Amino acid sequence: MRSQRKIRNLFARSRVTVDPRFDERTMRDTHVALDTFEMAESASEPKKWSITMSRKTTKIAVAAAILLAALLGIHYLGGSPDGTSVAWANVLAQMDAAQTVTFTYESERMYEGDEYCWTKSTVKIKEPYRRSDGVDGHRYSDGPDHEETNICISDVSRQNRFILINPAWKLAHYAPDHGGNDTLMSYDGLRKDFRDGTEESLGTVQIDGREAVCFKVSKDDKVITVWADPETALPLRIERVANAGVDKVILSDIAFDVELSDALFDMTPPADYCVMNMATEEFRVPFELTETHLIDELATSAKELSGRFPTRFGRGRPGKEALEKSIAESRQAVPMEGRSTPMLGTEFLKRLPEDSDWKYVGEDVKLGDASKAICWYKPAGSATYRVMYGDLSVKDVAPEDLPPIPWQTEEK
Amino acid sequence: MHDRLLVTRCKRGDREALRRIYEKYRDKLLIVAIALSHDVGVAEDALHDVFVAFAENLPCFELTGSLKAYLATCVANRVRDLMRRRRRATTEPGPDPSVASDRDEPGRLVACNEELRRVSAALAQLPAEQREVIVLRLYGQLRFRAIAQTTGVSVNTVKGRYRYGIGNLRSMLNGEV
Repeated sequence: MRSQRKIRNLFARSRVTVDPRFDERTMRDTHVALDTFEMAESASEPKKWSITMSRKTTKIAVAAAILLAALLGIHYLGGSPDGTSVAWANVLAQMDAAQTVTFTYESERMYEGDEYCWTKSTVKIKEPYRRSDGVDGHRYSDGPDHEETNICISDVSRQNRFILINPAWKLAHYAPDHGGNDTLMSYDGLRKDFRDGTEESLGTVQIDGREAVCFKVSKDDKVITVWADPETALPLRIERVANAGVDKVILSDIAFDVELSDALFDMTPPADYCVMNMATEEFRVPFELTETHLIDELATSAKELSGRFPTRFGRGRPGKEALEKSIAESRQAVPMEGRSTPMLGTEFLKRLPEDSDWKYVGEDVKLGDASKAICWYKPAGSATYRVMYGDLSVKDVAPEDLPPIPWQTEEK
Repeated sequence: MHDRLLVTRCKRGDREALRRIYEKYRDKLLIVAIALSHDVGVAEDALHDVFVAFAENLPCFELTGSLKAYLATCVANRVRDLMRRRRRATTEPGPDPSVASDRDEPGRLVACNEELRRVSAALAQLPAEQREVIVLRLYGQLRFRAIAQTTGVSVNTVKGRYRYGIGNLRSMLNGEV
């Protein structure tokens, strides 16, 4: 076991430095691959790729919990290594005994090149449910900060049945299984991962104006620091650091046995929300998708690119040069916060009939330019096309009067 | 962000989500590939190929487990293929620990730190099947059953390879780790 730990530590300290050209090449080729598939998608039946990972996780987790509970009984008879009254085992016992738990969860992770992710949320646990309300943020080295406010609820008794709700966009993602995430499972992770860790007392300290016993618990390359009430052994704050300080998680404002209404853990998506079922990929939209959704999404795309329409919008100018330009644009665009609702425009396109002849020619057209067309399609049963212009106006145009496709004109 | 959500967004055409998956797992998968191949060139190609294949198949891909474990398995499979092809082409018996192919070569876009060089040099001295089990178990954090599925042998065989591999590594790295 010791050798394994040492080898694992050697792995944990392993690092690579990657030249940005490698990323560019790989991302370019993945986008080409995605494009190739999208073009061929309508022509052929997709082959099914699936991976079936072990679905016995829950059973094993339950078995582990029973085993750990038994081990705890033995461990609990001990105490702090330096003889103080409260030890990690006492804190764990309190955590295990609690019927409900609430805490503030904060995490941060640094990536290379100043890329940075963070989460701040309130987590509520009432077995077998976990709920988090908070913000997920991300900052790229070459872009602005992005934050997304979400509510996550998971039912761990049913293979992590999961729903993620974005109130700002009235959008929910639902999965009937495999929905545990770092925030929701942080508390379970601490209880499980550090149960047999090595403990070191840091004595009595002041935290938030009160006295607390403090100790470090180490396991492999991960360390947690725990502040606990010296009388009750209830944890006041837990900090977890891993990967040489790159990953940091803080649990604070921890409260046990708080009254939590069952309604907080209701996993039924609100009736007026769009719902993506991540297992079946069925996207339920509780209203009729219209051309307005497409126009809104086009407008958002242009605004993200300083007022000009993107090179591609689902479709567009073919070729490697256009693809590379499109990839560069995606780096400029606001990636997450603006992407939930605008997908309704994409959904509108997806639901167009096969003979709608959707074309996008908006590359570099300025938002507001009424003289240039950006896209068109033929509604079901219509003899004319709906052509959208740079000022987001729409006109009915006969097929013979459609604007020329720029790259086809250039080829001629 | 949750991996499953990222995959769902990718499948709906959000290329930013694809980039986030790539950036999230790039370093881990490169380390798996370098540890398995002891060859930065093979690792670069394997990671590139795995992400291209992932993108190609994304629209009908179903994630029912850990994305990291899935991608690590794909990388291991790809490294195995590339090493086999390279051996066929050069008639070399396998990775030669005396050849520092993990060194920063001109044209290489990925560089390793000293710890990775040491661990990959030691692993290169193990038989390929032991190396694969150790890397996937200790770094990829795959279960023995998942490794058995990907390597096409029984769980007991995988456990045996792991035990022998750890024993061999212990003696190789004795005093170093």
